[in-house]
Amino acid sequence: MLSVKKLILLMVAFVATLTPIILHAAYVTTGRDTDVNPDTLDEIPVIDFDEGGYALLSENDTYKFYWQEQRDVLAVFDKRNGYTWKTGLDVDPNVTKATQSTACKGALRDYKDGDISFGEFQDKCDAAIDSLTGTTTGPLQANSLIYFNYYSKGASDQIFSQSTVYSSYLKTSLYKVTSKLAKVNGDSTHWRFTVNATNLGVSKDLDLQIIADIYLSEDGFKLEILNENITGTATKFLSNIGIANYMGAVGGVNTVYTAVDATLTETADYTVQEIQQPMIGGYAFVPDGTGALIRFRDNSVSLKAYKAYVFGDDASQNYQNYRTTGGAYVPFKTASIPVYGISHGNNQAAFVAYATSGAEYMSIISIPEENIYKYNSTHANFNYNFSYNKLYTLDGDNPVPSIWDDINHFDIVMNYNFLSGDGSTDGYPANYVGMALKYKDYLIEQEELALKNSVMENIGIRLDFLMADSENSIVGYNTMVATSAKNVVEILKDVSSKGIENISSGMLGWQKEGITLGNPSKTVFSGAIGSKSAYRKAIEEMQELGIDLSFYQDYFNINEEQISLYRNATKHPAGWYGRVLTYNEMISVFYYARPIKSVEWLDRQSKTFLNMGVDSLTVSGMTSNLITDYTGSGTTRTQAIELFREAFAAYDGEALLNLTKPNSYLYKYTDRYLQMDVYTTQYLIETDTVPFLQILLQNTMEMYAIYANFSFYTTHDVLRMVDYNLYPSFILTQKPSYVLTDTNSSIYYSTEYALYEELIEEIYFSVNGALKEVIGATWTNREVLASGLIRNTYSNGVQIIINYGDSTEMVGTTPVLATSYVVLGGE
Amino acid sequence: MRLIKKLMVLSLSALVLGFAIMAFIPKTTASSSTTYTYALDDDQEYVRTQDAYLPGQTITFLGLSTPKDITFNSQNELLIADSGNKRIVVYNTQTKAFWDIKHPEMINPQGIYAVMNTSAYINEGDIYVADPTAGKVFRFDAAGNLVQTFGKPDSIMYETLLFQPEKIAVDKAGIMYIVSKGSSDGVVQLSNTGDFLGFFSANKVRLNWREQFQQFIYSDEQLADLGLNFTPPVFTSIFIDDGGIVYSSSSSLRENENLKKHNTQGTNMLSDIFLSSTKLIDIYTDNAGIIYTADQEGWIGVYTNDGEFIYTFGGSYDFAIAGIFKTLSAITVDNNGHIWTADSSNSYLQSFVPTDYALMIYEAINDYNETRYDESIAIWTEVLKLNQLSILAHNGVAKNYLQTEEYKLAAYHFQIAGNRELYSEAFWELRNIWLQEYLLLMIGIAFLGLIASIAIKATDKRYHYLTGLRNTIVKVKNVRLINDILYMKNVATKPNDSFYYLRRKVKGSYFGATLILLIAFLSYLLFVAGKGFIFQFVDLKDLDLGSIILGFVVVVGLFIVCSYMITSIQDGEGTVGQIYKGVAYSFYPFILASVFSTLFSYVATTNELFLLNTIMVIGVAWTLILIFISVAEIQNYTFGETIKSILLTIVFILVILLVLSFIQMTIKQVFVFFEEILKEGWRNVIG
Repeated sequence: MLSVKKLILLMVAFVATLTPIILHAAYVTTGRDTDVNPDTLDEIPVIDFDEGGYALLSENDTYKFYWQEQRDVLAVFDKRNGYTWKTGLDVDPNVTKATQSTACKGALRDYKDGDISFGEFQDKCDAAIDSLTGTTTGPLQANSLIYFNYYSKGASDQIFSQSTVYSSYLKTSLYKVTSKLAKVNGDSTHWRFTVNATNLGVSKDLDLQIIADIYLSEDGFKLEILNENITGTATKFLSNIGIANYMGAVGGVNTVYTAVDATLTETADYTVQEIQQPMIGGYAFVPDGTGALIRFRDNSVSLKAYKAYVFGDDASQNYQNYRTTGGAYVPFKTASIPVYGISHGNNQAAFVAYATSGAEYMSIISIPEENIYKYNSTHANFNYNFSYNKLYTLDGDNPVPSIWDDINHFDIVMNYNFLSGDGSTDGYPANYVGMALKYKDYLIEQEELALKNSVMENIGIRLDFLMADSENSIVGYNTMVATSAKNVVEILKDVSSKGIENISSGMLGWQKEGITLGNPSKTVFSGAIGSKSAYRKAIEEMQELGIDLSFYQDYFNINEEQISLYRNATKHPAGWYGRVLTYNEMISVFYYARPIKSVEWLDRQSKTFLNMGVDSLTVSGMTSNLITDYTGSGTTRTQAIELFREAFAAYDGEALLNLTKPNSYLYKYTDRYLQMDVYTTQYLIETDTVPFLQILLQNTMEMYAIYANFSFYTTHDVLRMVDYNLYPSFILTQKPSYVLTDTNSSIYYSTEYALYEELIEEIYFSVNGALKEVIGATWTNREVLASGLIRNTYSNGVQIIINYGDSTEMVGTTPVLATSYVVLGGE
Repeated sequence: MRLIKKLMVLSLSALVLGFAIMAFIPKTTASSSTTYTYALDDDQEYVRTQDAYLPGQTITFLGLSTPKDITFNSQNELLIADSGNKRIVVYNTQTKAFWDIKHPEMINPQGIYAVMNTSAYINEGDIYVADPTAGKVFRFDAAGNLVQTFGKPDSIMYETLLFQPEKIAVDKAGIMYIVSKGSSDGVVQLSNTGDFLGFFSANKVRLNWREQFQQFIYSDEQLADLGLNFTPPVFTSIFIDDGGIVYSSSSSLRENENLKKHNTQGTNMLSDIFLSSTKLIDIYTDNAGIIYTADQEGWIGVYTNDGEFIYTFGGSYDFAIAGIFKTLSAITVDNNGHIWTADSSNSYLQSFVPTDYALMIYEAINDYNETRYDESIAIWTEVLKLNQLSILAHNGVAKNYLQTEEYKLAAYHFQIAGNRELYSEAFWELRNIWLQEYLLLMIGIAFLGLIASIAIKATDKRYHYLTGLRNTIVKVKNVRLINDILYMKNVATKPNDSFYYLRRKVKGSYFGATLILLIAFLSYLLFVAGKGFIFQFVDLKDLDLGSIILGFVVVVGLFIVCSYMITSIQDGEGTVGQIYKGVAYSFYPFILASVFSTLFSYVATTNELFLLNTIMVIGVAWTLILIFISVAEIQNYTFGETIKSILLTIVFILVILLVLSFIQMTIKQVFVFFEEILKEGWRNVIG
């Protein structure tokens, strides 16, 4: 037995021997990494609430809530850090660039006339005015708690809640908006904000009333706009409602007026300069894929805004009756949770905003600085009606732009929770980790998530099998079999014999005609791939080895060769079946299954699977897609969510659910999260990638990474699995993948088990080396110690330090070798 | 103490694990690309492959405005022709420090070239800038001081031409190769003193037969009205590598030689290469000779030093996503092999980091070029693990096997890659080896067979032991149906008499004729779909069986019907049945040729293509002659009458086909109309 001393010596000698040969180069972070913490706010801005027209609404142990009636600004003073969050920029609409120019001109004239001194000239003229006051709607947009867009004569116009009268480019007559805040039932924690907009419409005189209830609490505040509280003749034309769009916004350009005295050669004058306000340290968090940060930056080029529909685009409402997927680019990542947040400074002040109702119609919008008003801003927006092309001809020519007959009916409930400090007092640091933990606790409280505290000794691995797919034949189609049920058993036995534990496995294309043409509403087995008895035997054999073997099925993407579209495919508002045109080989046009059918097919197939003895169900498509169906009386997104939840709830306790990229409404039923994103869409404005989703779901379900086969097999990728607490997954075939060359599965270009045999073992044990130490523990913090050097802390005291860089890094006294990890602590 | 101990053990095990990871897995990060990488399959169609490059740094803070060109200097600093800001930006990609070069006369810098090595005429660090608006080329030193300015050349040859330099490259002798805006005369060559040396290479217009015809009959105005432009494609960029080889890119919608690797005379050394885009805008070549191109649609293409297409990635969309361009304007590569690009619409720079997949491919290509075949095979094998569908890798490994004389493996991989030309080479070698090995044995067997045959014949004369067998054969031959079918052999050898007997119904039958047609069709199908790999250009699954059947039946059927109709009004004596039999019995040579060609295709290489074609031509010609004779014999026509009858038959067939296609189109339209109405009703009323 080695003594501790000897061990230390051995380790030091080991490291010392290797250190000279390690290249030392700074790790260059890209948008796919998490950068070091933002700059610290040296001074917390102090606001005098006694001035500026603020009224105290309510006070509790943590916050003071103020209201600025003239500007519709709710201010939240956080007693813990002295930081004030405002729902708008709180710009004085009466002091604008126009009024200041007039003031300067007048003062200059008076000074030149000798009526006032230069000091008085300076007093009257010198000022820094937010340049957004240069437009009529600028201050309205910046201040208002609520804005809404409505359709008017084919265009969309924006109205703001701040009481005012103003004109728009769409019409010459004036919009009139009045708004007021009133206490409800004498309860100082419940306030009602009523917005009345009249004289809407170009030729018609339409009106709209929106009532928002605001609840103030120890967590922050909650804003509710109930479906029945949107009334008025303009309701049908309501496009969307945005909430607190400038809350936490950073940046802006000031127009600075400066009085200039006369010199020997020049007369007195005043100068006007546009000066960009300095950015503060901090970022906005948006739920793009795994999670993205948008740091506050002064960009020199104009960048597009980030806009994501929560739970993914609605192919019926967001697109025309068909859409094409460019074969060039990787599909955009989805926002699968209704959450965003903003952090100011370095672990100093932050808020996390999340929808607890209406999430299915929510969009998250983040506008970069180099845009209209030069602010970095992020907010939530809710979609009511939409425009689409009405089709009257058989070939779809000459479409007529229209809006739908009715709006989406749902209640908005937005929660704004505030975070303070480094989390040492309450466990919620004022950064993206705190945001994730706060939202996680909310979901646990709502029983949407439950801590699993697994007692597994080793991590799991996901080994999916691509069984068969169809290709064109001289007559009809030919099914190409890449793996048979027998092969699956052989391969899994082989994997198991290597000491790999907790294997779960899904079979893709298990049905007659394979993955693309196999009918999702039926269970037709084929002897060549696997007969019913062969599968049953395989399931039994695997159960004996502790391996979970299941059937994979996509219940959302369908094609005409696979199943009749009649009553099965979702209809677009235009009356046609919505479809997506792809560049795929063999079958290129896909349709969307109706939610009601997805559920029916899931039920039908699952009965057979369960009778065959499976322990789990593997579902994709319907888990990450949400579509409004316009067949007959239709199915809304809200109804689709209910249908899906009910369907999956039926298997609670009966079978484990392996769900591919499930949206948050399915978390409650998810046992294994498959194909978890590890990157964002990589919009240019996104500066960092963070494991928000992983922190949120860790210890509540098993999380499996994207298939390692396809460019996710390198050292950095293994480190990312360790960093993001993800278990590895592979997709395999027994035969070489080129047997599927002429099928839709040609995208799986490297799957042969013989080629991956070693890599499976090596990646599993590498990831297991770190993650087995934290099974059953909760991820409590993630810190970037230096570029490329990450420390993850778990509730059992284990710390995993990951070094993505090419040089050894010291963390305290612990050396972390280049492109490696170290596990510290634990019981 | 126990905790410390555990900690130590854990740390140590982690260290070891860390090393274990490093040992077995490639080092570069992969998988996070925003675009797919596409290579070619054996049908020359794009297929998705492992990511070749990942988006690296996105540079948005330099305040660029319409950057038009980028290049690295010898210090590995990035030079940017920031045309909108009338400056050259010198940017250090490591330290992120930058400074700029400005000059009052420089108003629209579009092209830039950095001198990498000092020679007698140029100095390392010199920067050449092409400015089409100023009509000048500026030469700055490494510190940004203007050294020389070159304006329009003072030459009679250049007098009437505009000098609007857009892109520039400079060789070791200080000779400038300038792409002048809109010039179709070629690349302008100026000496180091600015004297006009001539045009270096010029693009040509290649016209297809239709365009040649149009050019012949239409006036220039008419051509312009039709939107036909026969001016040569303009050069878009020029590059000179360290070895002094000049590369150029051009842009046109037409499939011209838009990517060129020039020899010293300016002639293109690349021929018949696959280009992923014809609208190239920039080109770069690294030290290993790998060629990188950028095109107007935002795609980056990568080619080997021989111009063989490796892969392409990118795309043009206004998404503002790293790795996807709005307007890709320039491409270059740094010392680390990272690609750098400029987007002139969004005014930012984007770098791309090669993955191990890409690096392995480059290494394998390099090893092959430097005759390290075993090393190259080992790397290609690794590449194949990552993408079993990679035609490039199959081709790559096969080429190495060809060099190491492992022809069987070479042939195997060439077959997967669909490379018929090189497969044929490997197969030739294999056949040669086989022949060398077995030729004597085969001659021996043949000789023994001959002797045995003579011996059997000689002994049979005396002992008659083959009589029984002979009688059986005769019996079989005398079976009516077999006799009828075998009669086609007589038709082929003695057509005049045979058709006479056929007409008189002495020989042949309708059933026999039908069977012959069926055999003819099957042999045709065998020829179309069953040839050896080298000659089988269409996959079985891609064949339209319906069309083949329909085509055969329609051609034969129409000929019979039309021939009967024509001959019946031309005093022909034959009936439709006789014509049917005549045509069917003429197919014997065609059947023989099809079967023999198909079988021969399995042992032939491309060298014997002529022989294979000749067999087929003879078979078809012989059959056509027989049909001709059958018409003459059956209708009792003279030679002239027969020709007239057949020509009229062909005309009649064409007329019928025309009418049938009209009818088919009309029926289809009516069918589609009712189908749409029904569908619409189904959707709106019931659905």
